[in-house]
Amino acid sequence: MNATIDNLVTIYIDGSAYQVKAGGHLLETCLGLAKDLPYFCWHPALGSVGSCRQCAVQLYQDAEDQRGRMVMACMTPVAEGMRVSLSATMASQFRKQCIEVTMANHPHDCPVCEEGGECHLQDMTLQSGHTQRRHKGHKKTYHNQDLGPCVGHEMNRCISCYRCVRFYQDYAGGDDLVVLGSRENVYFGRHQDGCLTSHFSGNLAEVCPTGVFYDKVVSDSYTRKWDLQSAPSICSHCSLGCNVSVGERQGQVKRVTNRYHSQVNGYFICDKGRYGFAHSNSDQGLYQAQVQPLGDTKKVTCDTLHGLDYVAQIMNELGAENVFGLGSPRASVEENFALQSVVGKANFYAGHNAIQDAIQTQVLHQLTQPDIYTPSLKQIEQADAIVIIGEDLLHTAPRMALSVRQASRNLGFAKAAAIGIPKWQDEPVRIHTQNQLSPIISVTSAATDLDDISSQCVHLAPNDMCDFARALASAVEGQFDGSGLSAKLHEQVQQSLALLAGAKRPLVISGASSQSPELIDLAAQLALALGRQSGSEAWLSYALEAANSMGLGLLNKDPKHVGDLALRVQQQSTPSALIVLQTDLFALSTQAAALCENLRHLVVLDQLPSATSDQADVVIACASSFETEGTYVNNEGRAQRYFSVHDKQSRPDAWRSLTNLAAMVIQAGPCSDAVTQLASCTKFDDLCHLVSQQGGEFAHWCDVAPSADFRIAGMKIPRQTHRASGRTSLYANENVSESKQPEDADSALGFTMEGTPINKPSALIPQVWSPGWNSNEAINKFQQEINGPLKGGEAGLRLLDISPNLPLAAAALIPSITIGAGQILAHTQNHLFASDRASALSAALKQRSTVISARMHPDTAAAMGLVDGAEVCVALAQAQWLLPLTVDASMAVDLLLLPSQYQAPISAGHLPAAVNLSAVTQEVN
Amino acid sequence: MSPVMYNLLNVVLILVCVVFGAALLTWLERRLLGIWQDRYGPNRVGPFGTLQIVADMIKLLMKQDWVPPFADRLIFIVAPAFAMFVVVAAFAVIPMAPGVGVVDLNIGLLFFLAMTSLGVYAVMFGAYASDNKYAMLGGLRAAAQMVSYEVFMGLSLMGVVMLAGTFNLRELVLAQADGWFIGPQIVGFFIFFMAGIAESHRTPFDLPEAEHELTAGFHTEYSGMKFAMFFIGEYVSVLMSAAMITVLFFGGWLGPAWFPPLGWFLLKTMALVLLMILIRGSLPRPRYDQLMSFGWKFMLPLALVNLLITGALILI
Amino acid sequence: MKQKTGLGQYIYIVWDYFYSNIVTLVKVASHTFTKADTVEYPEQMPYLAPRFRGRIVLTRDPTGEERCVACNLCASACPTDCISLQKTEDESGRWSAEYFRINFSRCVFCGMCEEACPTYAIQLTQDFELAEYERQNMVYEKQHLLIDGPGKHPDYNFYELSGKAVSGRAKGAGTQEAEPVNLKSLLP
Repeated sequence: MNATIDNLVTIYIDGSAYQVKAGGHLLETCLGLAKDLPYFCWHPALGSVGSCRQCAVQLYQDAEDQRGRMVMACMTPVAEGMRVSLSATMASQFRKQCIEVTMANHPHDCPVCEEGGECHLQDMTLQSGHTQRRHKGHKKTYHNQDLGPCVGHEMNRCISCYRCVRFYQDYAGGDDLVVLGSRENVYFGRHQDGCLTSHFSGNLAEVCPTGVFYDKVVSDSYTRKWDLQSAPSICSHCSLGCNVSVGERQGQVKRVTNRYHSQVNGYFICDKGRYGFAHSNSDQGLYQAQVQPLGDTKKVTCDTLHGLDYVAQIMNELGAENVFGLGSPRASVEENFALQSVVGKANFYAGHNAIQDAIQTQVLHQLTQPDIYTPSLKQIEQADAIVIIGEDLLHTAPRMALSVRQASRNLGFAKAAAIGIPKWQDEPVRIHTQNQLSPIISVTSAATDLDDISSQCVHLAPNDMCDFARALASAVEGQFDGSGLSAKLHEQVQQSLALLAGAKRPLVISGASSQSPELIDLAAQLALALGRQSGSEAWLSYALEAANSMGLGLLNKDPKHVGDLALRVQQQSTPSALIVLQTDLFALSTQAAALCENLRHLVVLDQLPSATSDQADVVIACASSFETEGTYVNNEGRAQRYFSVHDKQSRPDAWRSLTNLAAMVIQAGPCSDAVTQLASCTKFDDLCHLVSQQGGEFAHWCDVAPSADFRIAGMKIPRQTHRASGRTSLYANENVSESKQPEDADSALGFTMEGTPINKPSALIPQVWSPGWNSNEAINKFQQEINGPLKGGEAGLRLLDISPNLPLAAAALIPSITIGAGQILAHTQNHLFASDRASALSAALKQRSTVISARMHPDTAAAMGLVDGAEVCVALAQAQWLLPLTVDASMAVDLLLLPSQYQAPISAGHLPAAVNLSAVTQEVN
Repeated sequence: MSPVMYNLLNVVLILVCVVFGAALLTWLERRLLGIWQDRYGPNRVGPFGTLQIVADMIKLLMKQDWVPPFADRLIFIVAPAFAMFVVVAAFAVIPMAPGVGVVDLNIGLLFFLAMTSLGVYAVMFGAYASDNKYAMLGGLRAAAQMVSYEVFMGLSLMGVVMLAGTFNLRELVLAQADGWFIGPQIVGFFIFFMAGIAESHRTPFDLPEAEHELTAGFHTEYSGMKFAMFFIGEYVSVLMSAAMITVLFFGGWLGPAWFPPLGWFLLKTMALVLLMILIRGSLPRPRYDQLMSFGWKFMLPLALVNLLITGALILI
Repeated sequence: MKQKTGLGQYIYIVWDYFYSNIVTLVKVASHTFTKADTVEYPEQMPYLAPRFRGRIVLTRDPTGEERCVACNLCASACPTDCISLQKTEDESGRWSAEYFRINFSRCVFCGMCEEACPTYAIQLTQDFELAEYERQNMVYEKQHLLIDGPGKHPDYNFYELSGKAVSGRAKGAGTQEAEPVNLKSLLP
């Protein structure tokens, strides 16, 4: 990557000299030099095991050596003066024979294989030159297993490369996918049929070089890769901002796959990101604007411009100062900015409740401190000691949990490196390190998925967590006296202190699901203390609430939340209106009903119906993140742009509706500058330009991704592949005359197949493809070096690094919750597949969500006279929720964990709170 | 029958016959070309496809009468009418049989030459008014070609005039009572035949409307009846050339008495028309420079030599 | 070409051109007496070669099941993009087309789809009489394309050879397939 790095060596490949980085192996070096060399068992993230014998090359002693010897490229470290040949007859014949043997048992089912057309095995077979099966014997067959709703299984296709188990067990920490059988009859599957439990199981479809593990959800309404119209997108399900590639066909989003970003998600995404796209196709979605004129009892559908015209009339009637806006951490920066401009900064509120707001403020306050650095997911993998406080990462920031899992191996890598074993030598490293793991301290209220790699698991109630963090921070500073702590906690702090003693690159992780602003603050104190102890920058990472929590926080630095809004509306004498952007007020706060009562008008911009849109008198249907463009700022402050995959005419972009609204408002009379400027925006780039004019973190907003004017050889970048089929037939049943392809004035991507497939800037790669490389493995043609950044630099912009601002203000303290008699403190238990409405609409994820139950420590349950499995009634204010109780000995005491569930009577936004809990007596009729 | 009525009948009958004959010629040509190319040609409408011309006529009449918005409207409309007019007017002097013929001018041959030279204006008008690059190129080619071929066309006939000593076409026919001029004026016939084909811009001298290079040359922008007038004008011109050759070189209506004089005239004319169609069906189109050098470097000297020798022979 | 110049050469060239044109005229005129090659189509059917490519059909395998497995290869091979289809799957795992549409107003009968088809499902027939008064009627759906027989390859049955278990054919029951591997066996 950088020619000035001193450890460069010169190697000769087929007679040509190359300057390459030392320390790597030949395979990745050759691939990094854009050479084609087949491989199966090696994976850039999993390292080399040298089992498939496919990457054989000829290695020569010196310039005189004509014969050489065959070596496996993936097992051979590059060395100065090395001479190799990829094209040598012996090596290429060997590769061809190897694949011929591999293919002897491979079934003849490519036409009915979901992997067909993007199959690594197909690519490599062609590359090695094998075309005809000469073996006339019988083909081996296997029985398949049912692996649940997400991943399908067709074991006949297996070539025994072991990639699946190496990913599933070694990389993702799963334990239910194993190798069975013996000799040449190995079998990759579970001990018995059943759903794969890992939350990263979807990656198997991408990891498997052939179609043994395939994406069942994609298969349900299957489209070949070449027929997908794709666009680069950002996952909207959590705050990490994983890069994804979204594929569409005939107006339906068909699949989401990983899109490589060296600093964020690398090669893998979680199952929620992969399978949680159904909301955009849902027939329950909002597709038309609805207006309920005053006095009417029913909403009537109308087109969006009419709806907006009605909103403009409302705004003119009530006066600009009486119209409020509620932004959303799920909406893009541009959408929030447009709403902020329409209603004015003073009238703009964040779609947060008091606690969320305090947490967000506190997070920004800490992350803008000069001594604190928030690492990317890739950097998290480099930490050698991690403290996780109050966050069940797997369920709130799953990809971060995967990074933590990789970080746990750092001790082993260091140990292996000490005796000269490079990191990519997968098996030797594992054998040498055995089970030694880097210290990971997990402080949570219940058992988590990361407990198996944690050196110390501490399960504490939220208040105790604060004590623990405070004590540990002072202990690291050497000022710990143990006063005021229970003996058990004291011992735990001492144990943690010992684990963290030698850390050179410590990291503290906390997050919004702790629902404690104080803990956010204490995590930062701990990070600073650890930073001082190790003599490095304090590394601190927060998992935030939603995809654009950080963006909304930066946009709305003078934080005002729903509670403030409710108070203001209540105190106001004049009638008021509220414009809500992609937020369900009722899930956010118990004050929602009162707020709606006091409003004259409620306008909702959303793509899915909610309790709030049911209450609203104007609903403007707006595009989901797959149908519009925008920018999310992830938990490390990285602004990343996503682009529309397809053009759904019936629901326009939310930002466009808001600019149209601004244009209608200025027609009626003089307005603020912000509205006038917004009204002048006709294209997305205009809006980005407006955002950048705010300065500060947003100063370089237009550089987040290339503008709509970007062209390669005078052409836009095609969303469709050059092999896309059916253009003159797809809609021929409706009208035999084809309509024009839609045009996209808002991005440099076109809804066509016209354009060049090469040299795309990294933010604008719809899907990876390179001649001869149809599978996702083609990514090696897009990287500067294997596992390195993409050519042309990584996409996105870390806003916190460029900001010249001083630390932002800390949040005001939140009064602590008082727990009355007969009450218990309830917290949220997040579940990856059930927590929000977007994933609730995915049939596959719905099947994988666990049984809904309240959880409690057996001692606490016993004290309250409850038993395991009992039906309990949880009451908070007016809301009541009947659900079964599960007792869990791993939990903290005096705590009730309520599942975070879409449309539950008590939603995550209402917690933490003191709730009444009573057993339900079964009435027999 | 009064002389006025007789003349009127003559005029009307000849006009109708000429135009219908030209229309029928379109069918005949297509059938003949078909036969020579091992096809059938139009054989579906009416007996042997003869009603094809009716079908074509209906089609042409039904077509939108379109004038391009960029065209010079007046000239655009006048041009095809003019093209039709000059060839039909030239027909007026052709004596078909004793008593059959519109006028009997004593300078009939000169009138004929004058009218055919006017034909170039129709082409130029059409090309110029179309405001189209292909039409313009076609118009330029037509002008150069017709002006060039006009020269030796006139010269080739001077031999005949010298032999007969008159410009009156009837007298010219009668002068052949002892022997057709094809004998002494074989070279003159050859030159006039070539020039006649070139004047009616037919293959192989159809460069002004060469489909492959100029779409349709000067009438690219024409459609419907306006196109038809150019088209029919071309076929009238073919008939006229054939009739003129009959009159000048093949003794007009003269022939054995067992066949009526008009019959002889039509028979000879038809035979020449067939020859012209055969030439169209066989010979390729030359390059433009070849066409011009053929005219100026071969035909013109040949015509002059022919004139010289004819004159010399008469003097001797 | 002769390099002589002068009047003799000039006359020779003139004669040569003149002669060749006369010969051409005679040869063309001689065709007056040859028979026309034209086939008078509606009354007289033309001879169609065995590999003539006309209307596209979808065939069935010897057991009467649809051969098309909705692999999309025909659609991707189609130079005019006039084929589109959607895969669906029955309970037993057998793939088939949910819809299969060919826009014959775009089809150029190139036969690439037939060549690309791995299951011999899509075949071009000898029927070329596809004229319609309404262009919309040129769009053929699956029910218009499916025929009852196997077409050109009467014995081919893709699922016999695919190794996939579908209804009526368990794992290992196909041609050249071994019994499913018994994982519990320790025998060599």
